Amino acid sequence: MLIVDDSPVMRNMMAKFFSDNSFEVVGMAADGVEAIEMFEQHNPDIMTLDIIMPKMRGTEVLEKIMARYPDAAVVMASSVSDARTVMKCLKIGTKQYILKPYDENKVMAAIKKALDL
Amino acid sequence: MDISDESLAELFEQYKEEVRETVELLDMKIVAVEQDSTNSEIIFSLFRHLHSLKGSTKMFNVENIGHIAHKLEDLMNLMDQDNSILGRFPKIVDLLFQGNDIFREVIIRLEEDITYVNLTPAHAQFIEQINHQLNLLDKKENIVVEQARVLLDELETVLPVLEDMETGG
Repeated sequence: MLIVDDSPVMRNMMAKFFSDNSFEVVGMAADGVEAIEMFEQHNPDIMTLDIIMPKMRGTEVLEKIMARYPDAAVVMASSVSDARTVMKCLKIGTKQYILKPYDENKVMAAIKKALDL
Repeated sequence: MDISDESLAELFEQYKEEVRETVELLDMKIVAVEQDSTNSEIIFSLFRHLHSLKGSTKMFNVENIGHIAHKLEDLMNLMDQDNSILGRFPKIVDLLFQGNDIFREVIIRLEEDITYVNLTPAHAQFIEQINHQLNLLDKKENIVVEQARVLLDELETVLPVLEDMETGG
C-alpha cells in the first residue's frame, strides 16, 4: 500500500492504522510528484490519495496514474466533499472515495472493496 | 481510528508541531498575499495549508482550530476561484491574521490544558465575522448557479458508477 498525504500527521496515522490491520505500507508520499514517482517505483496493490497537495493536485495524479495503469486501485482520501470533485474522481477511475475525518470501519470497507476482498 | 493511547499521544505531539509550522508558514503567506493580492500561487498555497490544517485537526477533535480553519479555507477557496477578490475586499487579510493568531493561541494553551479544544465565545464571534464576509462574497460572486449547471451535466454520466458503488460493486 502507498499512502499519499501532504500532512505528516495524517500519513503517520494512516500508516499506523493500516499496519495494525495487516497491510504492508511500502511507502508514503507528501506531494503529487512524489506520489507518481513512488507509485512507479513500488507498483503498490493500492494507493490512498489526498487531493489538496503541493506540486500537483491529487486529481491530476489520479489522471496520470489511470492513464498509465488503467487497472490501478486508487482510493481518494480527502476532506474535499464537493460533488463536482467527487464526480470528477469517479469519472477518472478512483475505486472508492473516503472522507476525512476517517471512520475506521468505512476506511476498511472502502479499501477492501477497492481490492475486491 | 483504532490506535493505541501511546501512539495517539505521539501523533498528538506531531499534530501540534505541524500546527506550529503551519502558523509560521501562514504568517509569511499572508504578508505575501497582502503585498501581491492577485498572486494565484500564494492564494492557492494559503488555501492548501488551511485545508491540511483542517484535515489533521479533525482527527484530533480540536474544534476551535478545526472550525476556524474550515471557514478561512472556504474564504480562500472563493479567492482561488477569483483572484480579484482580495483587491476588492482587503479586510480579508485582517481575518487571516486574526485566525492565525487564534491557531497560535490554541496551541500554546493546549500545552497546559489538553481540553482547550472547544470554541470560546470570542472564537464564535470571529467565525461570525468570517461568515459575514462569506455572505458578502456570495451575494457578489454568483458562481453557484454556474457550478450547478456543470454538475447537472456531469451527474448523468456518473450516476451509474455511484449506483455501482452503493450496491458494493
